[in-house]
Amino acid sequence: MKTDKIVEQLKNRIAAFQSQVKIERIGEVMQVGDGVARISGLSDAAASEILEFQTASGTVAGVALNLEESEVGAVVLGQQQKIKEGDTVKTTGRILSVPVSEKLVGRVVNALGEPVDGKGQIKSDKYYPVEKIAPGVITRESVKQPLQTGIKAIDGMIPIGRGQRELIIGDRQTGKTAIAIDTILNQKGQDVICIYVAIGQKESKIAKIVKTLSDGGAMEYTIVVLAGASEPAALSYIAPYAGCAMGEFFMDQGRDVLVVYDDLSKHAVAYREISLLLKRPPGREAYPGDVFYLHSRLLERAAKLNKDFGGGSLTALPIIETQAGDISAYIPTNVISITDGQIFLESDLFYQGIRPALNVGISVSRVGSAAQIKAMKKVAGKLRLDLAQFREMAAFAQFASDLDEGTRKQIERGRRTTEILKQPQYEPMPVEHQVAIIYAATNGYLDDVPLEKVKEFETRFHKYLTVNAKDLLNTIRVKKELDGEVEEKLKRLIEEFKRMSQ
Amino acid sequence: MINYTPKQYAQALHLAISESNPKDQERILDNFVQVLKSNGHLGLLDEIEKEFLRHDREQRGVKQAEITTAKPLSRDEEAKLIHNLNEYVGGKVELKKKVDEGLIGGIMVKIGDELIDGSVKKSLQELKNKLKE
Repeated sequence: MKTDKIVEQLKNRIAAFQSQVKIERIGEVMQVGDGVARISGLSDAAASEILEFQTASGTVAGVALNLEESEVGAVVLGQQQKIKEGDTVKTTGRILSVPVSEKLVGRVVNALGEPVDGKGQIKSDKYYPVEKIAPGVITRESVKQPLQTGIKAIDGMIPIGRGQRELIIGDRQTGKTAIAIDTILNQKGQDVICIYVAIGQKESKIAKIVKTLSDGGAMEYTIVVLAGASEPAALSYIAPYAGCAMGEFFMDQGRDVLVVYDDLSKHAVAYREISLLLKRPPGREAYPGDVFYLHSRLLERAAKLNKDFGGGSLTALPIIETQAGDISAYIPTNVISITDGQIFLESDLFYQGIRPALNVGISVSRVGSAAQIKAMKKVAGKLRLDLAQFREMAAFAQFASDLDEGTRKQIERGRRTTEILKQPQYEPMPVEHQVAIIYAATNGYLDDVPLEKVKEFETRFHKYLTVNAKDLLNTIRVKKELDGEVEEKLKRLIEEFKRMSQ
Repeated sequence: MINYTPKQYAQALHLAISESNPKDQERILDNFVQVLKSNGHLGLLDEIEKEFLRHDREQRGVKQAEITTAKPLSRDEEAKLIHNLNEYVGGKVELKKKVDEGLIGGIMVKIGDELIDGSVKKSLQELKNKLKE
């Protein structure tokens, strides 16, 4: 009975089927290897159009990159081993695009938007082109809303605003990824969609990151875009643009998005590989001439849209890995000049136990205090000054045996402040707690605490605050201000806490 | 040294031959091979030949159509096909015939980079894709 019906249905569908003979433009593979193919013919291919290689064992996707008089240079996005010389290539009429939808959130996808986490297909009827021109001037407004990273040193001194592009730069093993992951963890309940784009990373590292994120409950608002180290360079090249396109979908709905590109040095290397294979002339460090544009067009897509255009934002946190602290290499200087500031991590500081290993001297945020809440602005101004003076004095005091009272005090204060800014990984701190502890440090309440006890003092202080000062914390969080009354309360609280702990 | 493409060689050769006396053709070909040798481009001969034939057809206003069928065409069918293709390209068509049983039936015509696929194999594939949806 049931099979009859199915057969009947099939019969009808087959009867209704009509094959249409169309004229198609085709090309022929002349050469294939190293992930790129040269194709003759294909005269109607568009730049960055998806091509279909018709091989003996199914079709393989590719992207047209070089359009020349009699041939097309394309990168292969799938298994190039299947492609043979003489295979037919067809155009698809689709510009390289990725599916975008709410359903992507919580998933791990590859650079083409296909799921790789084994949790089933992602259905989406909307596609965004991977390469998109950045929002224009009239659609933007200045960055003014903070994106809290939950890291005291960053939120205090190098604030990041929604719509900003802040570079995280440093040698290997200095905690670059950790800062990005902490920032994602800290977006819980902030209504920010996070996209972590892994470019040329070890799959084991990605697995660890995904686990950390899901353990911290952060996968509920996060998309991981993965182009692993073993995948073709073409996918690494596309991945950041794909991640950005997914972010733009949410930005266009007026939401806030954070995109982490980890890391753009590997992206530049992947692009260099493709360019050299396509025989584009090499320039400095063998990178092609348009490697600056490669990153500028990507990072320019970070934006804060104004009310008329939905008011969404896309914050970009690109990561660059330097070799032996050399920030004057080609790619680092390029990206530094594109972004709105950089967070510079140093391995020396890292091994001294200052973690995050932030070099406060050369880390900057060009957006500045516009991206801080008023309370933080008030306490952090002093913090910067304290630390700057401390650095100067400390260098000077190395050679002096006895110091005058004022200098000694400043150095002691600086040491305690540095201690306060240390923070373990995966423990982002709410902004109201940050304000409270920085207030205590900059106003001298820690001066009489022994240096080795500062860490302990801080832990107990935060516990005390959560138990005894819920109201005060709430006020700071909601009002975002530290006016006379609140400041007075905070002052009394700190004094009380100190009395108790003696 | 400028790196000439096979296409440029073919065009130059074509020009030289068409401008000269039929008697001199032997000599021109010899010279051409000498030029190739001194440029170290003897390896390009196959491609130059292909380009030359294509260029020649272009000059005469003739296009090559590669037709693939499952069975060899009868004389009648061929005449009809040529007539239709001539109309399609608006000129003369030279046939290059191929037989591929894998097509099952129908015909596949390739002119330049245009493909008109009217084979049974293609229809079956389309049907398969349709049923999959």
